[in-house]
Formats: sequence, C-alpha cells, structure tokens
Amino acid sequence: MTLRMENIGFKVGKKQLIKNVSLTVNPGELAVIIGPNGAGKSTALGVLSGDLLPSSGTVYFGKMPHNSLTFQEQATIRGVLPQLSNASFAFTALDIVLMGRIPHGEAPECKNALRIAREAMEQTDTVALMEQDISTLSGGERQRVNLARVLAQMWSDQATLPAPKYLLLDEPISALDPKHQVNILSLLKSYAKRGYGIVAVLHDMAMASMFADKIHIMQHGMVAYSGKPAKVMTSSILSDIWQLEYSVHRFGNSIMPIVACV
Amino acid sequence: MPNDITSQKADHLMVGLRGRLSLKSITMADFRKYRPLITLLGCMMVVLAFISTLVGAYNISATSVIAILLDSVLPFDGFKAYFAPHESSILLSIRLPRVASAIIVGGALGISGAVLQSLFRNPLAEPGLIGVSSGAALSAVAVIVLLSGQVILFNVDITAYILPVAAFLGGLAATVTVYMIGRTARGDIAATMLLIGVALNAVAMAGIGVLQFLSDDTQLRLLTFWMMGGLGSISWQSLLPVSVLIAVGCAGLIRLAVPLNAYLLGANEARHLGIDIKVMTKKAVLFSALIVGAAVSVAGIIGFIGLIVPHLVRQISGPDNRTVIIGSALMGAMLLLFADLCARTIIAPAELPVGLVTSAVGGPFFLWLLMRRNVRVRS
Amino acid sequence: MRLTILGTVSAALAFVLTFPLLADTCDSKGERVIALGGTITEIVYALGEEKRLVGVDTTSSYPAAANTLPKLGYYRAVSAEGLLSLSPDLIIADADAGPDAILDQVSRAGVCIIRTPDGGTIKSVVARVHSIAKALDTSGDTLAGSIESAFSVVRSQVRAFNDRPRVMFVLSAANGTPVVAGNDTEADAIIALAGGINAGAAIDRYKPLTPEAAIAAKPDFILMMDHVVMQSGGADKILSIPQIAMTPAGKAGNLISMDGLLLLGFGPRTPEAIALLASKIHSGIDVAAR
Repeated sequence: MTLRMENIGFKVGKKQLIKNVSLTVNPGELAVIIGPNGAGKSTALGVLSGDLLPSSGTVYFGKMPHNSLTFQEQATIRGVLPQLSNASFAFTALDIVLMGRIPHGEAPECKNALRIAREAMEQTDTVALMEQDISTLSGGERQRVNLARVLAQMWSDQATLPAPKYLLLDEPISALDPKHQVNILSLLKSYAKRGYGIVAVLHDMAMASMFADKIHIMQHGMVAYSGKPAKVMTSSILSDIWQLEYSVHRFGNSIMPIVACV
Repeated sequence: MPNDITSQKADHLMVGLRGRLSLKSITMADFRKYRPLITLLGCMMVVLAFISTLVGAYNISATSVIAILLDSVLPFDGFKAYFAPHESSILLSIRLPRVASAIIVGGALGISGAVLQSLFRNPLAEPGLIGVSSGAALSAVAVIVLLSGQVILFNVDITAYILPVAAFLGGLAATVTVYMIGRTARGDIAATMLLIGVALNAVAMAGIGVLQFLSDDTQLRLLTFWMMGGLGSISWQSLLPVSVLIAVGCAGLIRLAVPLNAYLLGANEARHLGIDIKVMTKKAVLFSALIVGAAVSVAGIIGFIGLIVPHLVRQISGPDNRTVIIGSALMGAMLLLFADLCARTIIAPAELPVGLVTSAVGGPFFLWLLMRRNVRVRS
Repeated sequence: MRLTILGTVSAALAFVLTFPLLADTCDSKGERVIALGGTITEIVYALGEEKRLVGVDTTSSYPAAANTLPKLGYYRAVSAEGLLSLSPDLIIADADAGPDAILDQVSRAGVCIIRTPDGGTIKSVVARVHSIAKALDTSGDTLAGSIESAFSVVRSQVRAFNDRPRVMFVLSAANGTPVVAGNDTEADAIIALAGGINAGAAIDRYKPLTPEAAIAAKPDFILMMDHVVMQSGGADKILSIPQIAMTPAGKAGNLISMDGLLLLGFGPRTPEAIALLASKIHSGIDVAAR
C-alpha cells in the first residue's frame, strides 16, 4: 500500500501553485523534496497531508481516496510535521508529545502513552526538555519536540511494520544544528528501513543526497526530476534548477553539491 | 485503559477497517489524574456555597439553617422545632435560589470563557469582550420590549423559555460572526478579534439604545435592572429552564476538552491528530453560546468571570483543558458566589449590583496577574 | 460539574413541585413599616406615624429625620433579603418600586405589600394619603383636608396670572444632550398646575431632545432638579449647552433649580411646590428669590 497523489493541481484564486503533480510515497523509503522557493514543495506536502483541498486530482491510501477514511483513521496512518507549530498556552514539551497519542485514545496518564512519549523524546534528544514550557524553547528544540510528537503518534513497537505508516515532514531540520540534523535524518532513515514511508521537504542538498532514498526536485509547481540522489544530483540539473553554477563532488558514498561561481 | 487501546498497541489498524476509537474514554480516564484538584475545587465550592447560605441580610442562625436544610431533604418533622416558618421560607425561596443561581451562572461563564479561549487560541477571549454577552443581551432586551404576555406553543406555556432561547440565539449570532470574521483575518488574529468584539458591542449597545427608546416605563425599569446584572430576582421557576440549558451545554463542552487541547497546537495539527475540527468547532461555538445566552437571560451581563477564571485555573493546573474546563466551571461558581455574597451583605439592607463587584474585584486582580506574568517571563 | 448541576436541577424541581407558595395574606397591623418612595415617607411623617417606620429607600430625603432610618437602596432596585432583614410586617411601595420579582418574593414570605396609586393631580395626592392612612389603620382626613385647602389657595393665586410662560423640564443633561419631560409626566403636571406651558409637550414621557427641536420649543424657563444641576457641573455649564443657550431661557439665563422630591413628589408639599414654581415663572412677582 502506498500514499500517493495523482495529477494534483492546486489554485489560489487564479494562481496555479502546483499543476499535474503526481507523487508516490512508498513504504520503506525516505523521499526528499527539494526545489527553489515558491516551487510548490509545501503546497504538494499540504495536499498530501490533507491540509489543502486540491482543485484537481486525488490523494490515495492504496486504492482508497484518503478522505474516505475518518480523520481518526487517517491520523493512525499518516503523521504530519508542519513548518511552524506554536502552542498558544504554556504546555510542557511532554504535554505536546503526549498529544501524539490522542488518535489512539490514550490519555496522557496512560502508562503506554508515557512510555512511548519518553522513547520518542529519547530518539529526538529532547528528554531533558520534558518539563519545560514549550514557549520558552528555542526554534530547534521546538522542532525536535514536535517531531517527537509525530513519532509518538506513528509509534510502533514492532521492528517491522505490519501495515505501512507515513510521515510527512515540512522542513524538519531547518532550525537544527549540524549534529542534530544528521542525527534526526539518520533516525528518519532507520524509520524508513522499518517500513515507514517518509517524505521530507529539505533545503540542504548535501543532507538530502546523503540520506534520501529518492529525491523529487520541484520547479514552477511541477516535479521536474525524480530519482535516486546519484541520478538527479548532477551539476547540469542543479545548475538548471537554481540558476547557479554547481559542481558536484563525491566523497565515498556522499554527494556534495557546491556552488562553483556566484 | 479500555481494551481497544491495548489492541491498538499492536498497530493493526488496517485501512478500511473502521474501528471507531472513542475519545470519550479519555475524559473518563482523566478524572483519575485530575481528581485531586477537581475534588479540592469542588469541596471549596461546596463550603463557599454553604457559607453563602448561612450569611445574608436577614439573620438566620446557623442551627436554623442546618435544620431547615435537613427538614427540606429528610422526610420526618423532627427538625421543625429548631426554626421559625418564616426563616424557612426566606432561606428556601430567597437565599437558596440565589446561591444556586450564583453556582450555575458563575459556572456557565467560567466554562464558556475556558472554551472560547481555547477555540480562539487567545487568552483574551471572553464572552463579554468578544461581544457574545452583548449579543445575548440585545436579543433578550428585544424580547422584553417587543414581546409581551404569554407565549403558548402546543398548549404549553413556553414564556419562561423564550428569554433564555432568545439570548442563546443572540449569543450564537455574535459568536458565529466573531468566529467567521476572525478566521479569515490575516495578521494579528487576536487584535482583529478584539476589534470585532468592540464593533459587535457597539452595534449591540446601539440596538439596546433603540429598544430603550421604544420601551415604556415598566419595560424600561425591567430592562435597566436586567442590564446591570444581578441574581436578586431569580426564583426556582426562572432558574429551572436555564439550568437545563446550561447542564446540556456544560456536558457538551466538557467532552470537547481533548480535541480542544489538540486544537491549541493549530487547526491542521488537530486534524492530523484525528480530530474532526469542523464538528468540534461547531459544538464549541453552539454550546458556549447556549450557556452564555442562558446565563445572561437570568442574570444580565456579569463581566470578567469568563476572562479571569480560566487564567486562574491555568496558573494552578497548566493549560490542559481537561482540568481547565471543569476547573473553570467550579472556580467561576466560586467567584460569583463570593461576589454575590459581597454584593448582598456589604451595604445591607441595600445591595450592590453583582456585576459591579465582579469587575471591581476582577479588574485589579487581572492586572496583578498580568504584571506577575510579565515579571516571570522577563526573569 | 455535571453532577452539581444535575443535583441543583433536581433540587429546583423538587422545590417547584413541593414547596407551597406562601399565602398572600394582608391583615398586617403595620407595626414595622418600610416606605419605598420619598413621597410615601413624607406622607407617613405628615400623618405623624413615623415611629412605625423601620426603613426607607434612598429617595426618602424629606423630612431630614428620615435620613437616620436604615436605607434599603434605590426604591426601584431593592433586595429581598434586605427588606426582610428589617422584619417588616408592612411595606408601602410607590407604583414604581421594584423590581416586581423581588417584591413578589417578599410578599410570598408573608409581608403585606401595599402599592400606592400614582398620578400627577391633587386628587391623586389625596388618594395616596388615604391609601397610606388606611394601610396604617389611621385617618388621613385631616392631612388630606389641609392639602386640599392649601391647594385651593395656591390655585386661585395661579389663576391670577395672565401669562403662560413656556417651561422645559430637563431631567438630565449628560453628554450635553438634554433629556426632556414630555407629555404624561409629573413634570408636565406640575408645570400646568403652576400656570405654565410644558415646552416639551410634543414628546411622550422622558426623551432626549434633538438640538433643533429644543430650540424650536422656545422655552422661557429651564426647570431642573437641584442634584442634577450639581452633577451636571452647575447652572452656568448647563446654560452653555448650545441647544439651551440659543433658547429664550438660555439667553435670559432663566434656569430654575428645585428639590426633586418637592417638585415631582406629588405629596403633602405639592401646593408649596406649585406656589414656589409659579412665583419663579410668572412676571409681576418678585423673582429675586431664585
């Protein structure tokens, strides 16, 4: 079973933000969307997550249109991390992570919920922040706490998922320091290996090519290139998309695109 | 936890398998953790209600009060020796309905404040501030002025229900207006909402002014008295329809605690957590309008309770709505009990309008709360 | 909370069903009397029955001795327990006293409540005296007789004047918009009795008057109550309100200020009030006193 959008178009007024976009998220795969500002990355993710109602096309879980499921059913299959997530009242980090267990009908006092929240916070290195007011945290800390919430929501105790689950992440590492960027992406990669289907919008092309199983490059509201990092991260494609002169270097397995000339 | 949760743990929810999980189970489980605070508040409210029953302009001894209460509950006549009949009638038909209405109206205002603050994700939302109370007041005043005599529907005298229902519809119209405009607003939603509230209040006050102009002397008197806000003329008969409406509304709102928690993260986040936000929003708006309308219809406009009380509860318990909503009901009841106790004893045998007391006590207290919070954030 | 509410509701239900409404008996001796309305207090004093008074409302400012009695608040906004706390057996209430719901509660608690008739004529004053005297189980004939004879003296004096000055009674001047007495008001009645014409007669009851209508009404005199003049910042301030300044009254500085209870009370002192007002609005009489 896959999560996919087919021939999606999305308009705001007369402005076509994305057109004819088809994307498939396969279980077991960490896919990354990159592209210039305004290319339609967040819009595509918004349609995929159900935040935006497409003007044409449909999103499917397997063969079923996703809105044929109840919100609660969707919430046990698909977790979404938005770009900015601000709680207005003084919730603690733990409160926020525990909210990930709401779709499972688990109250914050529930032992299972607490155990999962703690493990999710260990994975995102936020255990130390547990009791802190979310509004006093830095942007990067808040990002990790919210990621922990999404992980708690999509939690599975099994090594391999019996049924696929999807994580849609809009710039999950934008506010993180390099160490946490690497740690979080490795974590996501390990989730993908267990059977999760993950899509993340990233700006850091080096990180994208290091961790992604597949990269979608968007431009002008369409998917311009899709494929394995080695295939799409070429100097000609990148120079074409960003209108900059890129040279691509390889160090062992990793690919490092560098702006050659400004 | 219920069994469906343990089965959920295995993560076997297949697509197409419509296992409907119930969020209701959460609200029941919560009472376990929050029982101490809720119980404490509940006990304090009962004590305060009892003190209110003991104290009044008319001096009835504590022994008599207890004897009267026992006599009215228990079937035998042994207590009759401890009180005079007129004491009993003063307590049961004047003081007690007042204590009961302070609990019901205060609870309604507290709970609606808590829910509206979560719904608008804004700690400044309050039935009075965003115009819900004045919307309710406008339509209630319209009923007082334009409708006279009994209203009979299907052979039932529904006159007593007309006022609360009209107030409810007025409150609902205001809530929906604020919500619709507030939702489409760009930029600072909090500021926009307060501005909408200012505009709605102005419109409602203008409408009330027109109605005052139209009204005759008797209506004008009724109207002025009602506008000042007070629990003085509430009887068991007028309290009955209102408490039914408020009970329904409160029951509905308490069940929204968990969805409202998720909603505090954001509308999309709440939906990703499996909450049908359209349904939740509709319920929250309808039920709050219902209880504010019902409260306003008997007690007039009593300010500040809806604003302060949820803050107060959050200071103690944190922002979890499962505590804040029920806690606000109890705290609101306590605050109004206290304010009404002051109103009817300070200058006895005369009395102060209770709205005056809540504002006089609430305003400075709120300022102090804000100052303290600023200090804490800075340090 | 749900439980509390349910409990309360069921308690309320139980009461509605089982609690008998107290009988509305009214065979009180009137030993402990509360007067709600300044005129009523005045009449009780004039009847010489003030010893039976245990409380009055805040409008009861005459005679000065009434100020020493417990005050029950404004007579239109009294509280049930406040009234009952003085253990009255009789409450004599002005037609405007209330709220009705509160007086109903008190009446159901077994206190006899008598409402006095209202109206802006000497006949209604006499009717009031009699109704209060009857409630107190005494005779009002002497008092009524002296009011009537005083009135007939004043009436003949008023009839001697040929002029009919236009008088506008201003109830309040808050926000600079005067609220004026129209038809069917005590002010209208007292102006007519004093031989004047109510300049605001075109409107009903008390209404704010638009500036142009105020000027068109051409009042020769502005009539106000003492405490309102004080609250509004004094005579000069009121006379400087444009719509008043541009009237004949405003130009001549003719502002008459009288005690509210005396002027509008329609009680024992009404003949006195008529004489005083007449002396101020009619020419040919020494008006230096004003």
